[in-house]
Amino acid sequence: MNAEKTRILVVDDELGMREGCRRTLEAEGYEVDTAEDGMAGLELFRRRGGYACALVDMKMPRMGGLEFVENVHAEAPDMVLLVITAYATIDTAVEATKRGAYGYIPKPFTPDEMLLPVRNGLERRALALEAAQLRKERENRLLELAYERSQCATILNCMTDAVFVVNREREVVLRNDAAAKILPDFASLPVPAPLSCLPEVLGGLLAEAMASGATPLIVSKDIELAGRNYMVNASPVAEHGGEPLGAVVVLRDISQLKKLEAAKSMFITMVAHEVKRPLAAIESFLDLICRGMVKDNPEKEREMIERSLARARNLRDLISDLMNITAMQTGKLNIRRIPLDPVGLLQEAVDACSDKAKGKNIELTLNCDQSAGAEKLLADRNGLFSVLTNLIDNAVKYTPSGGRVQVEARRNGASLSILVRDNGIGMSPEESARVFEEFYRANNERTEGIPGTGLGLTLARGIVDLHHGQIAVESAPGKGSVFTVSLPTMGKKQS
Amino acid sequence: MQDKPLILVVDDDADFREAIQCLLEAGGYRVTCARNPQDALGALSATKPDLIVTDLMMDRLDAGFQLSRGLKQNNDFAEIPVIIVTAVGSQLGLDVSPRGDDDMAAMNVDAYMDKPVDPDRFLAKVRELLESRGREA
Ligand SMILES: Nc1ncnc2c1ncn2[C@@H]1O[C@H](COP(=O)(O)OP(=O)(O)OP(=O)(O)O)[C@@H](O)[C@H]1O
Ligand SMILES: [Mg+2]
Repeated sequence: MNAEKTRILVVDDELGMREGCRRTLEAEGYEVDTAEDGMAGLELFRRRGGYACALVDMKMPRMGGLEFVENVHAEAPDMVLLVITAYATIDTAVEATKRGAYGYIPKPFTPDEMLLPVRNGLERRALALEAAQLRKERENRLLELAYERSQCATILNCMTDAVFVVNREREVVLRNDAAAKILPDFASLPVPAPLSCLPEVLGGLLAEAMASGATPLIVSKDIELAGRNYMVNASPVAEHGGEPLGAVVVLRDISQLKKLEAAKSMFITMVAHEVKRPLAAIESFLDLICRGMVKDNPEKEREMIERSLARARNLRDLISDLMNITAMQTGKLNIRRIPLDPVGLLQEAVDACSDKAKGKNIELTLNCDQSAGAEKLLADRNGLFSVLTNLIDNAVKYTPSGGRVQVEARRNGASLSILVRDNGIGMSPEESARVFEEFYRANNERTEGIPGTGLGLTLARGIVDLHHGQIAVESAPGKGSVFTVSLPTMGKKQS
Repeated sequence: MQDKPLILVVDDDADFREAIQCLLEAGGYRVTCARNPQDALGALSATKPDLIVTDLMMDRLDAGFQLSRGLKQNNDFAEIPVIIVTAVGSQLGLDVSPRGDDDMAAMNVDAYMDKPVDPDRFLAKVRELLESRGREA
């Protein structure tokens, strides 16, 4: 408060009066300016401004008090104007208050007689200013509210979820744009619209949410509308624990999620089936043996035990393949791309399968074109290795004894082509078309008894995809198959 | 003396086929096998079996039902009892198992069993179905 003193202007043509007022007021801590007539006072008021109060003599040369009050009041309505007057001109003083003066001080006066109205006036002024300030704040707040409201409406309409609000009279009083999109018929109705216009499921949920009373209940449900699935949440609208004023419903389109869910349960069904198959074979064989049903045929008994063992191993492979497939589907397969020499990796993959090939008396060869080793691949070592061994393993597996498996590599523009060629059992066009499907295994007299999970090529394709490559098959029954993998190379500069 | 009843086993799993064959032979039946419904239809027209035991999910999810329904439409084979033996779980994902006698009739299935089968229950079922058709081991 002290930082800036309250300023008072004293306008009087009598020097003694002016200086007397100044002394008294300054002693009270006010800052005082003086002027010797109305004209000079007005001029000072206009030039310096910022006065809280003016004491004005009524009768002055050039411009009297009345005219001064009129002018100043028009320009600074909150300024406290006090008229100093002799008894003789009290009528004029009354006239002055009509024109905007706050009051008058009859002459002669003691210092206290002068200070009292000054203090009162200033106090009133302060109160008035405060009120004005409050009023202004309230107005700003209103503006803010209006702005907030339009902001809320904008946000509501930008939501992808549909929102409906229902009042206690069971009328829909609000719906956002998404709600209008989901229920186009309803969108054309004016708001408020009766609740009965909404599809029954929605109306029911809203009624349920509203009926929940003081303890707010959130009703959630999956519903179907016009061929799409929605997750619906309904909850009562109430002000802290009061009676519900209505209910709000939010609909979220979960059609995509539902599809994923269905695909996932299908996958799980397939997995359960694939796990039960080897188990069923093992259990059946062992049951027969335990019951002594094959004891007369020791050769058969031994074969059953061996087959059970093979199926048990197959089950273990299946489970590790499943883990890999799941890791791949959830994006958790650890792919760490590093520059790789394709020729070296191919040699390693061929070496890894050579024992199996020898065991079946299959000739396994690697033939890399000169161009193949020129550029490196940016690839995950383990991933690519498993793709290659899978293809070579299949070729050996699905080629009868004495056959031939050839692995080749060559540059093909900006990519490297790896071919795994066999002269084995081959596949029909229908079979080749399905080899990359999860769990698919060709089933015919030629594949009989060959163990496998039907996931090897699914995994291989997944890994090749992660490397932005391609995998394809060409095959003919009885003639053999060629699997081709194409992978982008790094280009000369980096290699 | 009547011949032993002939049973056709249809399953894409060679090991399971072998196990069932062994079980049925021990039960005193003759057995022929087929790897898929197409081969089964071939075997069927060559020699008519007295009963069919088939897997459900072979080249497609409901291959077994396809086979059983197909039989119903052919007067020569409509009377052959069919047992479905499957590892398709009914508790997860899609449930293909028949829910009642109506379902079974619609699919032309006389019995529906989980894989692997309980040998005693399986053989009892086979015997029961054959007896109902006047065929005994
Ligand atoms: N070189 C090939 N020649 C003929 N058929 C093949 C060849 N490679 C794959 N197939 C067919 O494609 C199917 C799927 O192959 P995939 O590698 O995915 O599974 P799998 O070999 O049966 O099992 P695993 O997961 O143990 O490799 C095989 O079951 C087989 O029928
Ligand atoms: Mg394989």
